[in-house]
Amino acid sequence: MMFLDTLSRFLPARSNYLVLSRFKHVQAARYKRSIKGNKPLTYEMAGPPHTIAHIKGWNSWNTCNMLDGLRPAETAIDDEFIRRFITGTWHDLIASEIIIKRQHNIIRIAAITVQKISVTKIYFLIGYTEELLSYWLQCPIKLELQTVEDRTAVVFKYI
Amino acid sequence: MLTNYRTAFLRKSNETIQLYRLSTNTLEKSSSSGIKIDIPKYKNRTSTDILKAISSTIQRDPTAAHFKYHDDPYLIPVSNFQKRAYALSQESGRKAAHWIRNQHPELFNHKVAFPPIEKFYPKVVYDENCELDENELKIIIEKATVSDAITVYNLLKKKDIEISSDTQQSLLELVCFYNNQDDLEEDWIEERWYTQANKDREEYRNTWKSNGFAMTLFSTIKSPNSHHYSIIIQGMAKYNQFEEAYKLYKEANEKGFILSTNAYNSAIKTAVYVKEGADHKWLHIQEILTQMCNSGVPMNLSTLNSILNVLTTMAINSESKKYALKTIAEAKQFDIEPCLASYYYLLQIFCADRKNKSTILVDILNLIEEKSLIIKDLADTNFFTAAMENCRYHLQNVDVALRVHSVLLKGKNYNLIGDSYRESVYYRHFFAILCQNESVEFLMKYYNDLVPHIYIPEPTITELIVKTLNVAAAVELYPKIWSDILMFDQADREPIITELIDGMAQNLFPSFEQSIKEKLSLLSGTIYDAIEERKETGKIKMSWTGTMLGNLIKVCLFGDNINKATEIIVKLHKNQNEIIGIPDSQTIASFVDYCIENNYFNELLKCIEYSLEVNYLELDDFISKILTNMTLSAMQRAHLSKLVGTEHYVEIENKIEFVSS
Repeated sequence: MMFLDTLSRFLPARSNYLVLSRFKHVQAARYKRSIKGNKPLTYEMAGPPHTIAHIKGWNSWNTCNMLDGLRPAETAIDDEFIRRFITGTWHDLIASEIIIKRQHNIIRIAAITVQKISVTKIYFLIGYTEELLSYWLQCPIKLELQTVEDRTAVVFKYI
Repeated sequence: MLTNYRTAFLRKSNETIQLYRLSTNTLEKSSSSGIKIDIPKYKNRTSTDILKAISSTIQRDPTAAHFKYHDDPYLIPVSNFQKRAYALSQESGRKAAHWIRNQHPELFNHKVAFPPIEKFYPKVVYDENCELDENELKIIIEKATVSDAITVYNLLKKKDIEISSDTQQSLLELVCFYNNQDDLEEDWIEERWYTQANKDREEYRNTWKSNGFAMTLFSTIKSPNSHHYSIIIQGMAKYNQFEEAYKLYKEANEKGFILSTNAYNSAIKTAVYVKEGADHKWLHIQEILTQMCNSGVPMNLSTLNSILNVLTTMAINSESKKYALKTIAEAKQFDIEPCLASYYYLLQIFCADRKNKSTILVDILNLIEEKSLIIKDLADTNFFTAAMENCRYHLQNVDVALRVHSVLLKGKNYNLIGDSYRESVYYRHFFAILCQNESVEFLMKYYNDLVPHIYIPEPTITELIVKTLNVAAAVELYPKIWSDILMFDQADREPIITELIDGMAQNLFPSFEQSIKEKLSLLSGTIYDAIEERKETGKIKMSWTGTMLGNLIKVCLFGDNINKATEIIVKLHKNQNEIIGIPDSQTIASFVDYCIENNYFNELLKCIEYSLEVNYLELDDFISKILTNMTLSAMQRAHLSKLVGTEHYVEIENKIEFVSS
């Protein structure tokens, strides 16, 4: 707000209005209310970004963006790759965000899946995902899955 | 989670700092008083020592599934079949990924990891376009990939590149050790764990590839020396090509070569097939041993094991025990300590005779109890299973069995259990002996500990456990055992169900508290429902027997569960064709009595209807009992007479009047 105050002192009224309106209408990572109010949101989706570290956590846990952190850009790309790979491999099975945690050289990937396919198939996919991602990212990968009976189990609220 | 760890870590580090401060203080004081500090010698640690130390603080948690399974209720296996299927599914997924990488090796050549990790890169394919030299071959031999080594060797030959005799020898060693084919890769742990059961069947079957690469390589060597002979003899003996091995051994002997100790050991093993009869076998062994002695080749552990191995094949001969002891004594002179494999052979030699019981296992236990064991021979993994089997069939002694078990759990000895097949055989024997000899409390202590995550009882063992519960009248454990039976998919095993229901019906004591009575009757209701449900979906094909249902009725009545009892009676009546036999008349009598006592007329009618159909001898007694002991309305009387048949009804009524007058 300090910044906006100084800004309004220098700028004419019209621009001032524009800046404020941008500030108010941030849309990123906020879900739009549906007309019928029946859009399901998970707990993670329900919190807008400023609630991270207050009521919800990060989706990627690593130290790349800290001071002297290594490979920040590559890590971001890798994370995106992992997310796309998993949502594609586990087609229509992932019911939550994919949380990627990096510790030393290990990447732990956590998610909630739906119990739609048989357990043996789930195990097959676990083995496949872990192994192929290991080959790709060249480090040990561990999947940490929880299962729910259906998607409604992870709905936090409807908007 | 993470923050928890962090605080714990901080706390820990604070403590260490404090400790450090304290120690520095004391050090200063002590040094001022002139005491010399002994700095311990620096110990060389390898890179994994810390990991090993950490892992030694963790024990197997019996309440959780094995860590190879995912920690989620939906994903945890509950039966032997599921355990196997899940573990192998995961591995097959890994294999799929492996296949994809090998199909598209060009996609996986990027190098992210530093230092580079070989395991993550696709396999190198060797063909004629590769720049190859002897060093490459050496590296491949070091990696022990047999098929690659053979291709590279052939390529080098084609290009007329000279190969030194050392490399040639190590290649021969490699192909002989693996019998010309790639071994199952180290990565496929589950496949190893679950498939080795078949290997037992291959014992003594000749699997040596007689026209394989090893033989060609051996024949291309112009003047094979003693090393080459030693290697090929060992390879042949390892894969049970005994005759050829013995032939080569003789050939080497004629040429006056001194073979390696292990080659002599392999030659000893050939006695199993080459010679027949105990005397000839022993002569064969003696011959080779004198040969070794003359050549100045010392014996080693595997010499001892090979001799004992041959002796097991002639264990019926009374001399073999003497020979075995002699061999052990001889080995002791050379400071050779027998390993588990030797003990395994000893067990086989000494306990072959079922009549003369030998307590050699106790002596063996006395020796190994204090030691931490490591694997020294492939046959080491047979020991624990054999020892437990010995306890069950030979010694029939539960104390010895417990001692064997405590040895198994000590240190890292559990690694010597072998594979899943041997493990389950081990526990099968263990539970069988616990069932035979110990109290229910004792049995349940182990049962709660080991079942279901470490061991899931086979149907025969479940039956034994149920029998033990029956004998001990441990009625409070029936619900638990029933839910376990359901969980292990054993509800379709007729002997188990019969045993369980029989046991329940026999252990009904009027002195039980009402709550236990109710629980039992509820349980019999659930058993009936669960089996019915599974029969409908086709999961269980077992058919009911009259005795089973009769027993269920008894238990239901015992806990005042009249509704279920009537349901079963109706079931008996309706499905007479499918049910084998009929419940005994006593059960029906007790049902009638119960109804009379509590004035359940409708239920009573259903029972009488069924008894009429079956035509029990005591039918008249039942009806007269009803008429005398129950106050019936006119309507009810009419109902009953219609059911029984008016003439017969009047007959019975008259009889009663006659008796009472």
